[in-house]
Amino acid sequence: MRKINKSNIGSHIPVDFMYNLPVIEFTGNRQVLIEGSTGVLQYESEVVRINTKTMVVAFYGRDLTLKCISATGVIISGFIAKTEFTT
Amino acid sequence: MLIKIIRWLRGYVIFTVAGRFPERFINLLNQRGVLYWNFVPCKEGHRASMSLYDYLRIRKIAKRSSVRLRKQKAVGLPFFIKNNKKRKGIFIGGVCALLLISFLNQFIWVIEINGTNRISDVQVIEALQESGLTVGTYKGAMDVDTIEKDTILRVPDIGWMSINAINNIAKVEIKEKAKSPKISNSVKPCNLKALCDGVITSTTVVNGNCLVKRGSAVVKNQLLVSSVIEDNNQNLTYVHSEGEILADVNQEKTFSVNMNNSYTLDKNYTEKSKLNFLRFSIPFEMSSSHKGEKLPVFKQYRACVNNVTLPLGKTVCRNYYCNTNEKLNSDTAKNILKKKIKLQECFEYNKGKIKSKRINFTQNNNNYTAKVNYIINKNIAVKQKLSVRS
Repeated sequence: MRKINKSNIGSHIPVDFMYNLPVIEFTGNRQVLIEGSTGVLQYESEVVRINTKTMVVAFYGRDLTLKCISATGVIISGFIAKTEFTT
Repeated sequence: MLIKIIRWLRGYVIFTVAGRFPERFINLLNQRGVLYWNFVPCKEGHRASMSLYDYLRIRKIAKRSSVRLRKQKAVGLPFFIKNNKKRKGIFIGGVCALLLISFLNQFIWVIEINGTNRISDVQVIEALQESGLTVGTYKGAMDVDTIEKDTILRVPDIGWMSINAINNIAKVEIKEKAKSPKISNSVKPCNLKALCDGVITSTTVVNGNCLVKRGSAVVKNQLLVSSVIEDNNQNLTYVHSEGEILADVNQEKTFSVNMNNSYTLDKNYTEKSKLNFLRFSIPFEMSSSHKGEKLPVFKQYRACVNNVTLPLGKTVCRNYYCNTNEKLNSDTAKNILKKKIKLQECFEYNKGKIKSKRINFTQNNNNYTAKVNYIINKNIAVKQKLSVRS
């Protein structure tokens, strides 16, 4: 009987869907869109920490503001200097 | 912009969020589906805006997230009405303004004419006025089709026209009739001869045998283009010569002014002003009466705000008077002569191009004379029919 390779199944399904990962889209260092957020953990002008299902994403910079928030997405604008992932 | 207007109409509150867990406050607001905007960090903590209705509902959320809300500013129509309840004049004025605007919207404020080239705008405006369209016409009673037909009949050079009443502006689009080209029906043989003495600068011959070249000097009545064409077999054919022979021509013209005569002087005038509103005009400035002949000159001014012409304007009528007893001085006479020379150039020498001009002013007894020497580049070819003698 032929063996099924499990890693082949995963290649057809999007990774973010498979592992519940957030989708993060940067526009230079001025704006970032995070899809799949579950809440805001910290909100200051120097640091914004966003909780997702699998990790916490922190954005460091200056003049950071939450431009738009919905139940599953956040747009952060400002000058982003550093991004940190905590799993 | 529209969102801002809606927010202003509904009224909103700008407030600060200070406390231990403002992030929790944001998350709870999102969970409850409360709409807020401009949530930014500030000295006191965070600042945000929210509609008045929602602001009154979020007390519990603020308590749960251990934050203190402090109203900073209330913006919008509900607060404006609340603050100015006692000032009834503002509301009456607002209602009156709205009524006035809606009333004035029923009339034409401006007539815009596009597409005229040969026809003057004044001619079209006068024809439109006779047909029933003028500033102040009631839009509801305007029969566009009839006005268009009447105007076309009154101005024969209009080929097609359309009137579009957009808001308070009557936009008149005009297409002029194309002039039919002059086609010479004459097929009789003729020569082209020189109208006056000159030096040829260019030759454009459509039909005939050109006998002159660029740079050659010609005298009056000299043959320029011959109608006789000889082919290789020495057969003669007679054609109707046509062409343009440009030459530099010397011309002298004398203008004179009698110093004893009376002339209209710009200094002596009286003014009369009228205030125009739609089609009504109210005189608000009376001029003093003055004896003697008068020359009226009208000037019209229109009020304009942000490139929008209002139905309000002013017409100034300036009456110039002639002083019969006063003698002209040399400066005034010179100016009058200069104006005469300009008129001459505009109306008589408009077909040619003036290459140079020299003016000599002289004064003899009662006359002030200007002698003008022109060099004009113009077409000197004139047709002359062939006769048995020629």
